[in-house]
Amino acid sequence: MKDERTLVEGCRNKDRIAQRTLYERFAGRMFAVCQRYTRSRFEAEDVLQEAFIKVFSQIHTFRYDCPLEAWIKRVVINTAISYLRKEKAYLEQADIDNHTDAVAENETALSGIQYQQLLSLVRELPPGCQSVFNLYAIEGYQHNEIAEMLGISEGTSKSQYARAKQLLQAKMLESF
Amino acid sequence: MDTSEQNNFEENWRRAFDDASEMPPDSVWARIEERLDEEEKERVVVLPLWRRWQNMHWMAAAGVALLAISLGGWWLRQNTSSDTLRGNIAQNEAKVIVPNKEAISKEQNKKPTPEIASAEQTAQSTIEQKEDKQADENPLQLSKKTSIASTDNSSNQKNKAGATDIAKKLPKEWAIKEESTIAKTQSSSPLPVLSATPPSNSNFKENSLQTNDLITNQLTISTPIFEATPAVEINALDGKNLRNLPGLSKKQIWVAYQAPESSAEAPKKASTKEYWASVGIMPASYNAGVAIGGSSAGRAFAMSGQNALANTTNSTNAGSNRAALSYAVQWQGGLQLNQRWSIETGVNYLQGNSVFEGTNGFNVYTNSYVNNLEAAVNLSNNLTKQYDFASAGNDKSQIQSFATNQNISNAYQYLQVPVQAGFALVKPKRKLSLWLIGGFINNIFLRNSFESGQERIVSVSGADNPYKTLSLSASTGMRVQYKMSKRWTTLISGNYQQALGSNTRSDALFEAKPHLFGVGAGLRYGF
Repeated sequence: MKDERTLVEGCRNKDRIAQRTLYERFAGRMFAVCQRYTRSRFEAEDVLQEAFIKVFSQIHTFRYDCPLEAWIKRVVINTAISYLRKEKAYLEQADIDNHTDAVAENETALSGIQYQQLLSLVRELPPGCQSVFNLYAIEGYQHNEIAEMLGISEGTSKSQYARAKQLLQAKMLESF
Repeated sequence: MDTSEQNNFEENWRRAFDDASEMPPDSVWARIEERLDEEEKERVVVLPLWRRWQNMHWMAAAGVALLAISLGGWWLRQNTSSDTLRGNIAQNEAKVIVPNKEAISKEQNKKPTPEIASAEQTAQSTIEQKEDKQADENPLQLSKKTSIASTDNSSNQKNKAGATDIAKKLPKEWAIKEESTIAKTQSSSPLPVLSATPPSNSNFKENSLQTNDLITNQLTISTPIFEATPAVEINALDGKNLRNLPGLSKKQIWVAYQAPESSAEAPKKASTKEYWASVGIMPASYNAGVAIGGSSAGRAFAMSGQNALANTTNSTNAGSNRAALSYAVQWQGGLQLNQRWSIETGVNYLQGNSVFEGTNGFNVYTNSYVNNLEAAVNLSNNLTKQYDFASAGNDKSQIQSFATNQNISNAYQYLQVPVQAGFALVKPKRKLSLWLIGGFINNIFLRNSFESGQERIVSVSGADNPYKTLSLSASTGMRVQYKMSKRWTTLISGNYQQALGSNTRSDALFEAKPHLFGVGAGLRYGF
């Protein structure tokens, strides 16, 4: 995409106008990602800020082999994970492998539910569950990949996800 | 359990957040911009040019070629002049002070290190654009506008209330049927069963409280310090399967990049008109360009016995010159009128060292050795006639037999006042710019020191000397400027100066038309 290349090249040359254009193009969607991984709007703003600083400083490593948005999103997710790791959020999670079989088998319908309400549900998840849920359900990573990214065992990833799913379904039943 | 049903949970959530977008407050960009500015200021390294190397090929090549031609020409001239005198053995030559010509300043421009593409930066995995399934389920009816408008950190409670209303709208078949399954698994935190009564579940409240505590705790934490190796973090996900990333789905909205619509969005640029002051040092090759004769009096002198004393073969030999390592210390100030033009002036102290390849002979009248430069200078100086050869007339026999070659060190000190204009060949878009400099230099004579036939250094200064107090040179050159920060700029310049006319008085017995080539470096501060 020629325009995208122009934008990337501008950012590589530290062109402030290009940097701002890139930010304005992706900030909205990336802020929504940050919101999902953090527990408050303030934290999301911090993560977004750090993520874009990294985007601008590492833009020279972008090789055009994937859409720019996907690359930026990866930076944002990694920044969020790094942020959470600093917060020691993962120390709080327990290895609850036995929960794997306890996943509710039926789907919970989300149709008609406001985005903010869903976001609130995700944010209410325990920290470990929240990240695993985001990475598995929304981002589409596999449990072995998530385990590597978060520095946890694959079993923990599965059990955290099972717990997240269970909690979300329960909350939806409760709320709706 | 049906696999498709199992996937529906993820699919629904994925769709719910797929197109989610929420503009952050303007303060986020303001903080990012502030950080970017700070990082630019911190990059004070002189040669981080490699990132812009891709756009500088032609400029660097031209600069290198110019320097190579200049140095080559100077080198050739130096060798040619020395060859003409080679073979003559002088009895005093061994003691002559010859500045080390190899110490001529070498061009020190290092080639910018090309960007090394880190092989470890594994390319992001190829992404499979997964076709979105046409979902059979009812599409989610997320109202982005509403969600953005209602963004509120404290919306949890509101959500609960609102969600109850929405729940009433949900078809019954979407409700969870297998409540018993859930109930069985709630050993640690039993979850309430859906009921029409208001939430009376104490467990959920506890859960909410814990969550709120967590939020509160995290809010008290100051701004986190991020790891210093963002590249590692970025690549932590390399090679992952990204096919399900919402950003890659068909729903991806690609907004064509539009050039900045107006200058209103651009950060307002400060006026380009700015004053600056700089200091610099310029190693140089200085050739004094001394020639015995020239004026009518000089020609007479050249034909006379005084000059002949130092010349056994050619009575009109004017002598030749060789450049030696010199330097200039520069204090300059200037005004940048606009992006293209600047004017500048200042004060330079020039120490110009050169070698005059003359002849030395023994004067039987004074019983001492004397060289022809010495004779020319002294005979041009009305007050100092230490060696008066007038009586020698045209009789060369007294000295010819002793004449020999001598490399006479001949140094000058000048105070220079340049008045120059600069024109930007490459406009200073960001940090780097290339300027063509040209103008005049007023040379204020301070001192001339040369080696006498007796191998001692004689200095000429003051009012009564063969040199003009003020002489003029033309100056031209090129300068590469690298703006390190808003205030500080490094300068690398090549400069050529050529005297306009002789630096000596009209009645002097010799002429001096020096030229100079130097490559200097400096530091500039903008006001």
